[in-house]
Amino acid sequence: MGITNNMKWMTAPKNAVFLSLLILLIAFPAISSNYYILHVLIFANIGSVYAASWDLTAGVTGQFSFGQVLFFGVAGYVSGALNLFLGLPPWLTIPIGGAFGVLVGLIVGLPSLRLKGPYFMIVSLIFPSILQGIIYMYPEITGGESGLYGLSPISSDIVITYYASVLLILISIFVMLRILSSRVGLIFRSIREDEDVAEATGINTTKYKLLAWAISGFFAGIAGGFQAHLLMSISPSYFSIFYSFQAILFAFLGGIGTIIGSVGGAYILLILDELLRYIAVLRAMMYAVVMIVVTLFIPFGIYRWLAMRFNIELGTWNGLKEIRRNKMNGSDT
Amino acid sequence: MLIAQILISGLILGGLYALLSLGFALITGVARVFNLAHGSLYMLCAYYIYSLSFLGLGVSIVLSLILTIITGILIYQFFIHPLRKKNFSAAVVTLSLAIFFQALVNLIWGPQYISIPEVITGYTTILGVRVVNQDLLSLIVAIILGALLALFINRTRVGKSIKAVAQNMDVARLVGINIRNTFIISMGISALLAGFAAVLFAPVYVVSPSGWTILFRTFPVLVLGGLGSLKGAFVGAFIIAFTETIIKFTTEGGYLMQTVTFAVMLIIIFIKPSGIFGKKLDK
Repeated sequence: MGITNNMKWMTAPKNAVFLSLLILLIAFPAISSNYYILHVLIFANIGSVYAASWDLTAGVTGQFSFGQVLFFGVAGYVSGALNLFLGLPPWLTIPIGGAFGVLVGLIVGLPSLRLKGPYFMIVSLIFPSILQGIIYMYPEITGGESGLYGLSPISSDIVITYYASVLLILISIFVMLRILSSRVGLIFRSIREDEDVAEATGINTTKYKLLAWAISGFFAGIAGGFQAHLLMSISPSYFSIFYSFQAILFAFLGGIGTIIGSVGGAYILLILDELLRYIAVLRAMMYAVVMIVVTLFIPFGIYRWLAMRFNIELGTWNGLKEIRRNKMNGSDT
Repeated sequence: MLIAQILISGLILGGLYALLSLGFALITGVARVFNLAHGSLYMLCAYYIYSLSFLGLGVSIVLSLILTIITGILIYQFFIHPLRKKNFSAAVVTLSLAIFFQALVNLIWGPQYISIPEVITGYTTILGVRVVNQDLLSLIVAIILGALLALFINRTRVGKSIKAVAQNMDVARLVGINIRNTFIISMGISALLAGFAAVLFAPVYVVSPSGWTILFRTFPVLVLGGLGSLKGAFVGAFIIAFTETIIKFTTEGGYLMQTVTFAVMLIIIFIKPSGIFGKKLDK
């Protein structure tokens, strides 16, 4: 599905750029503790995790779906309902939401086992609408059209909330990168490249595809729960196609199949989004235009583009190991 | 009374679904891509008519249909054709286009609903049910267009080349069919059908910038009939329309309407992914 196999983008872990960005992320409140700016960055952190979770099934495993918002939204509702009706604190409801994300991930993953290409795409577009119908059906639990509101905030202090989101993004991205470069990640990528061949080499593709969906569901889920608590509300509009589109857009812009690219994509677009905040129509247009330009002209994403253009050695922790392994096997693809 | 109501409403809704799904199925079957901007063509045509209505209804409809065809071909030429072999990218780009058009229309005409004039006015009473004449006209025209399309595909030279490309692109190329022209003609017809859907149904179902999302409602139709199958799209449209109408009239609120048809779609996909008339599309 049009993923370039050029490995130049993950050459060696010369992490100078990477490390300075990390320090900036952690030390940012020391530079500015402006409520508004921190709020934008928290959204970017959530968006990064959400987009990376889509990337794990789509970019890495090759199961392209339009329904990532399902995990995000279901987990948001579960977190919200647990907090509102049982009074559980956010640090408990968010992981439980993530667990429900896993469950929904497995449910969504099931059709992907049988359906190829276009059929799965259609199903994934439809899933969120089914859920929206269910939400309208049970207004006593879901709040119906107005949704649930009045959830506990993550913290009343914006700096603490910011650090919670930093923790969320660091742990999630680290774990997903480790998965990407692990043996499981290799199997995921082999399913993406050619599922039949993967199957023929004795890989239980059913098991690994479901695993990919479960992991993806978990991370999208904790991002969804986090956002529900951040906004202190959740509504059926969470399930609009636009939110799924956002995850795809962030990942496409950053570079699909890289996980880390999603972070860049989310930061760039959410900051652009904030700049256009007061011109709502232009925001949607900006998203659409960026998406079209990226898909037509830099389909491999800016992360790989930067690496190739400037020959910077951007790398992941295990990038080096991977290159070595590939070189040892005598293949560079 | 209720049965007559369901029968008539179902038939009319079926006409709308048939026009929309035929156009979508045509381009899916021929070029093997999902044109998620298909709903936008419907929405745009309604807005063209709305803006041109000062020219008189007949002229504005003809001009709008031509403009819709041009829009469709431009979308194909610049956005779909380059990505024809990348299924997902083509879907993503056409979805982006749909969102773009929504924002554009919102910017130019504003977010409120618009209504365009009916082609014919008044109503007729059939089996004790009052039916708007526009709806009757829509149903008849939808069926005529469906039949014309079938004749075109099966009887004319161009139509046969479209069929050939849909069946096997490589062989079609070998026997000297110009593939690119065939795609463009198919896209033109597809856009024309979406335009007709707007002419006929937009006066009854008001249109807003988010009007393109009506496309999602035809997905169960496409899956039921088999992706890319024209016969399937036509028959499926009426089956799904009746299912929806029955649920709408027998349950409260009708929230379940889409949930049930989507669930039906899922079940069909699991039991028989190729639908009732479908051939299996490859990636």
